[in-house]
Amino acid sequence: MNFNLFEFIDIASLLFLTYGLIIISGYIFLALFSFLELRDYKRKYNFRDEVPLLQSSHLPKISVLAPAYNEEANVIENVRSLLTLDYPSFEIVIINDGSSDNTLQSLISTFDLYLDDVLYFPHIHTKNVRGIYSSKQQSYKNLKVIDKENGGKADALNTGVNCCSHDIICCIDVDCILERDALLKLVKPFLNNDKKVIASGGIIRVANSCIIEDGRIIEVRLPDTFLARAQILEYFRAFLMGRMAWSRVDGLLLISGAFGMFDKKTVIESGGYNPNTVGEDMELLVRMRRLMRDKKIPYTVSFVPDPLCWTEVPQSWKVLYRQRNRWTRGTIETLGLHKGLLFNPKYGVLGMLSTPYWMFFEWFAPLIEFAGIIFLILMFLFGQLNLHVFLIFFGVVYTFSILFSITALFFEEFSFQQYKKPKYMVRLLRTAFLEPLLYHPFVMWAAVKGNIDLILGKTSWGKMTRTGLSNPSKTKPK
Amino acid sequence: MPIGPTCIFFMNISLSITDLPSVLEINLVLSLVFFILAISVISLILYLRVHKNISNHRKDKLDILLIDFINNYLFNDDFDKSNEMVNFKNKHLKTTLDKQVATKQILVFAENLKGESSAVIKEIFYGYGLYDFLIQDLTNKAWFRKARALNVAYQLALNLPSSLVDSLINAKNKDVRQQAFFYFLHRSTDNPLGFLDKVTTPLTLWEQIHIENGLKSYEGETPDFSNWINHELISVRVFSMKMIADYNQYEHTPILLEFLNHKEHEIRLQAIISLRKMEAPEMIPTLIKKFSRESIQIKQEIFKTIGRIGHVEDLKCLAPYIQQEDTVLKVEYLKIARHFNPRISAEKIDEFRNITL
Repeated sequence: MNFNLFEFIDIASLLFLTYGLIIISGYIFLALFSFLELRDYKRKYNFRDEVPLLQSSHLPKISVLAPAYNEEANVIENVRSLLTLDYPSFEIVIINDGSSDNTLQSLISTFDLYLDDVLYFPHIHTKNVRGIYSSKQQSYKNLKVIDKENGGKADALNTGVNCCSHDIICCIDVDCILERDALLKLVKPFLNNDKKVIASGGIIRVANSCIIEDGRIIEVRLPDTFLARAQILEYFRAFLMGRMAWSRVDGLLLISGAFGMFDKKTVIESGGYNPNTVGEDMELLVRMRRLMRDKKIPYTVSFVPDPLCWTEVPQSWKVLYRQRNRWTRGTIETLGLHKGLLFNPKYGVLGMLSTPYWMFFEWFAPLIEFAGIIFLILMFLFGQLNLHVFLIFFGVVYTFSILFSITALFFEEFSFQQYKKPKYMVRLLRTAFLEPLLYHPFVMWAAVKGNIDLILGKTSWGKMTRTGLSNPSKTKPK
Repeated sequence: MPIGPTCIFFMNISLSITDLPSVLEINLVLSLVFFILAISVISLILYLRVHKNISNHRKDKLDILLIDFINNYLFNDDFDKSNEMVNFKNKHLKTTLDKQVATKQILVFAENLKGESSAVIKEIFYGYGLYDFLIQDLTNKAWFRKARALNVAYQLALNLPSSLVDSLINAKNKDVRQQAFFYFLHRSTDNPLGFLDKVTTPLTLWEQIHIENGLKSYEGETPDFSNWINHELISVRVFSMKMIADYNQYEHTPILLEFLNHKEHEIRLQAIISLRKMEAPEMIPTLIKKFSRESIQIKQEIFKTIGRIGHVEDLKCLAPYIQQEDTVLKVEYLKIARHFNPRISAEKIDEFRNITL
């Protein structure tokens, strides 16, 4: 019996080690590709001047789609901010997804809206549209508000796709803060590519604690809470290392739902956002890529390294838990719906690299990690846990975690250096050391619970309460 | 902890480490490697921060000196130009960074000064020896150095040896190619789009917009865009059609009308858009005649054209060619119908079957 237990421990240890080595190699490749991409970006940055292009009448028109559900408190300020984006021709389409508060009434009264008898073709099936509103005022002529029955974010976006006027759509979260030139930068890949571009995305940044005036970030500040800082590190890892690298090998599977631009025709042809999944952003992109591959049309998905969109990250553990739980369910649902891609050479990088990566590193990683912890507890309970063994295993995981976060911090320092004050860097480094101990286990548990909830049939989004992006300088004396 | 017991403690640990199974040994080594790497990356971050601060400080200091020097050179009659130039160059422009900072500062002056002063700015550029630095960049293998050199050359209106620049029009790297376009566009005195004759790589829409933008600041005579209307690249033809419309070169309307029957879809599409922009209603009979054989994209453009420069009767002529199941086109049709008669309600879509096939 004892011999068998030792054998089991050896095999399990070897398996964990092999998995760990694969994950480590994967991350090293990601870091390498990201570095190359960032280096090229920096080199290009030196001699480009795109502002004069805003005068061109040949830039394609863009429809900005922003679903709003119970956003009464901030929707007016957010729409005003969107209306001042620097781009020659665009429309803002706000989709009121059956809000139970006064979102619609606020919009109607503030922007002087009237019920417009707009003709549109429902390419994608959605919940009933109650009405489409336009403004009587010339200054808001590019604002359209759609009022519809509640059907969730995916359904709201699909309604926007049906009703919008232009061929390029930019889907955003209404509470996001966009840089003034965000549309121009995000549309560039669509115009400057030999292949058909079906989507492009940008880096999402954390807006918590930043100084905001008139819907614009005027000073980047580091949040005071550990939770928000840990998410900043996570966003660095995800965007500066993960997506940059995937973009280099044209293997992006996800354009963030908070800010992404799409070719409308391809979206419609793919069937639009899937309202039956909580990971609609990822699922849509995978379906679009699959469609292009199946039709053998050369295409690409682009990623713009500039920080173009700022968002508020969860400030409470409860909300973070719901968000991560949902992200996990969304990932699994998407991988399940597109299991045909997995290791399918027909889909190239998508089938041989991206999908396996998402499965093994994004879906399985928290499960394997959790299994590792259970394994350690069992060894402890059976009196087989050697302190040295534990410390060595813990040491390798911990040191790699901080190495990965610190490398992401280095990339930030190398590229954008948004957190300029030295004390910010010190606090971020401190967070990098604490994050694997305090933050990561929680996120891992949320992901494990996401798996369990999916098996139990949970399909809800979970309430996402936000504290709002108030201006710290106004709320707190310096 | 006293020194003796500490040493014994660590010796015990090291002894027990050597007894570890290989799996654990590998893990231990990895931990150490990761830890050392993490410390190295932290050091690198600190180095980068300090290095950036130092170089920014140096740049700021050099910028002040440069501004002072250029102002004196431009406006101070007592300034000993030749001696001061040599002194400044030897004293302050030693490294690549110094030369890059100087080039940037000169570009700022060049942007804000016109006429004689701008010629003096060029004189300073040459005096600093920055032209040689630019040529070094241009002959360098690295694409970003080539692109940077071209960018500086066109902004400062410098002439570069054609042997070095000509081939860059079709460079593999997009950024180099684009900067080469701008160089030729800005340096030309009589034919700003002459480089299009040598272009063998399709123009992206982004490049077209950049060229269009460059033409706005071109001070010479507007080129005759029909020169490139039969270019071997479709993208160049499309671009010249766009420019014909933008610059109202009505004399080329007959060519655009002919293009309504072109075999290439992109050319037919752009011909319609350009002619619509030029308000050429003579194309409408052709559009009606060809409507049923066109793609949905072109059909939609035809609707738009009729809405903009046609009549409701023209629109009605198209109704019989809209298939019953073609609901997208029906909606487009009704949008234009409503444009002619704003009283038509959305419910009319149900009556549509009466007017179609």
